[in-house]
Amino acid sequence: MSASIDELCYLPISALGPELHARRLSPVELLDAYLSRVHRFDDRVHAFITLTADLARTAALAAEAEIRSGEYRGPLHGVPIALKDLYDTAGIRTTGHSQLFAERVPTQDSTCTRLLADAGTILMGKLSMHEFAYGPADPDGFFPPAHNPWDLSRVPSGSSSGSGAGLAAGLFAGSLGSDTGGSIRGPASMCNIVGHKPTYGLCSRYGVLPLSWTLDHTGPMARSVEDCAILLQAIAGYDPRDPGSVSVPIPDYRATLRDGLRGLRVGAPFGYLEKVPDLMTDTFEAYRAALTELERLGAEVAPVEMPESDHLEVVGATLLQTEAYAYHRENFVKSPELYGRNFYERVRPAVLFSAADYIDVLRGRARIKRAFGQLMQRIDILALPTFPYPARTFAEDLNTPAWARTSFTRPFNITGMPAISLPCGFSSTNLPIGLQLAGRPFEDALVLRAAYAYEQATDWHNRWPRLEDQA
Amino acid sequence: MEQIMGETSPTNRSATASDLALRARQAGLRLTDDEAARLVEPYERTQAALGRLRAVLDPVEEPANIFHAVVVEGQ
Repeated sequence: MSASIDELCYLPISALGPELHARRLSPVELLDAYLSRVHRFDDRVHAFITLTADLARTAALAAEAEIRSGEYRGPLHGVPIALKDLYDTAGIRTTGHSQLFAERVPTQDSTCTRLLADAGTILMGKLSMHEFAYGPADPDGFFPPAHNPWDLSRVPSGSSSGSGAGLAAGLFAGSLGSDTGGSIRGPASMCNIVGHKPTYGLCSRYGVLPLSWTLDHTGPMARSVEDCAILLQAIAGYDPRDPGSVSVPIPDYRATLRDGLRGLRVGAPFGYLEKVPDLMTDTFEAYRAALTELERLGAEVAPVEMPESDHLEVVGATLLQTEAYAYHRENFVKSPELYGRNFYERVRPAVLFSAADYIDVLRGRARIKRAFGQLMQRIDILALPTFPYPARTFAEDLNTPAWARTSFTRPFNITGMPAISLPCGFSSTNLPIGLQLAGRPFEDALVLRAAYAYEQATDWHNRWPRLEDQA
Repeated sequence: MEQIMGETSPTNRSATASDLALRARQAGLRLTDDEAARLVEPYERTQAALGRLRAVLDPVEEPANIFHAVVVEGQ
């Protein structure tokens, strides 16, 4: 290939795959290109907690030999990726970005780790995140937090912060994040990449450090919708080791990407959004422009109500905190000093919830699911901004209490609906803005199709930050 | 503790920092009085939100399944 190293590092997986297959590009050459950017930029981006360059080179050489001998595994063969540091990787430490697990080395891969290895990916290492996937970025944490490549003084959002920052910085081709309240879609929105939270039960969580069992999702993050479809194809499917896993037919997620939007019914909760106190004007304008584009592409956009909007926050937050507390309770008592202050202080109050509180939010969840189910009988896609505002500084992020943050992502963790975030504009301060599209359970292919149509009609996803210009 | 969590009288739900600190310590957690004082407002805010949720819940509403099998209700 004649592309420069930087151009190569921003090519989508969908373009890299054919080059690797045709042997116009070697997995080793591609890995070296990414590693050169890691060495140039990651001392400022801090996407990686653990870089496994030697293991990656061994895997790249093996992939090169396999492809040369005709044993091509598919569109991920020879593609360098990195994983949020809560996916277990046999023989490679998996920390959850916490001192508590700083030396924890799993003996087995998570199901998703194994599936991506089987697909021929090259694992470059493990990525920074918010400690145990919760709370704001912690500048005083045991490991350094990832920084937003669009403005290194700002957070990339989280909790899959290293995945978002590393993709935006061109450090690897794809990643897996996890999403309990928006942790895939938030970094996607703030880093100008694409993140898909699949339907609950579609992708295994076995071997993934839990935050909240009934809200946790695993899912792909990449630089294009099609790349997310490619990664999803590799990890979707029933896993008997995950009690939340559901056995459903897995479609070809790329097969319908180009089917367009004509006739799709898109709901837009304008009335709800107009009352959201922290929704920034730039974000709302970018969202409205995106809806206009969806309409131009053939979708029928109509205003809808936001179901149960008064109760989404308390149900989502209470579920998350009580389940996180249940997981961490023993270590909170034995070794509180091994937790970062932010995580510990945000989860500790869950000790004050009663069993009746937890049961009542589960009852609330049933009510919310029913209301969203009724709404989705009238529309095919629910469109929202991903986040009310673009990336904040670390201090702003740290000092904003949880109750003062409106979440447009949490409803789809409560309901389990598939939801994607993709680039849809920039603020007046040149910070990315994301569009979120959600669909009915297990209609991930439709969500990807709608996102792809919008992405291909716009060029937001082709913009990348200039790290060279930032000190 | 009963005074904090009493279900019958909203006036009994008023939390104090010492109540919260006591409950945390009973669970084996470290919580200073200053830290507990900072928890009072978010605690009461959350309890108020839970109260609003309870007010709209149908008495026969059952909890969502723990692993919530979206497929059953979604299709």
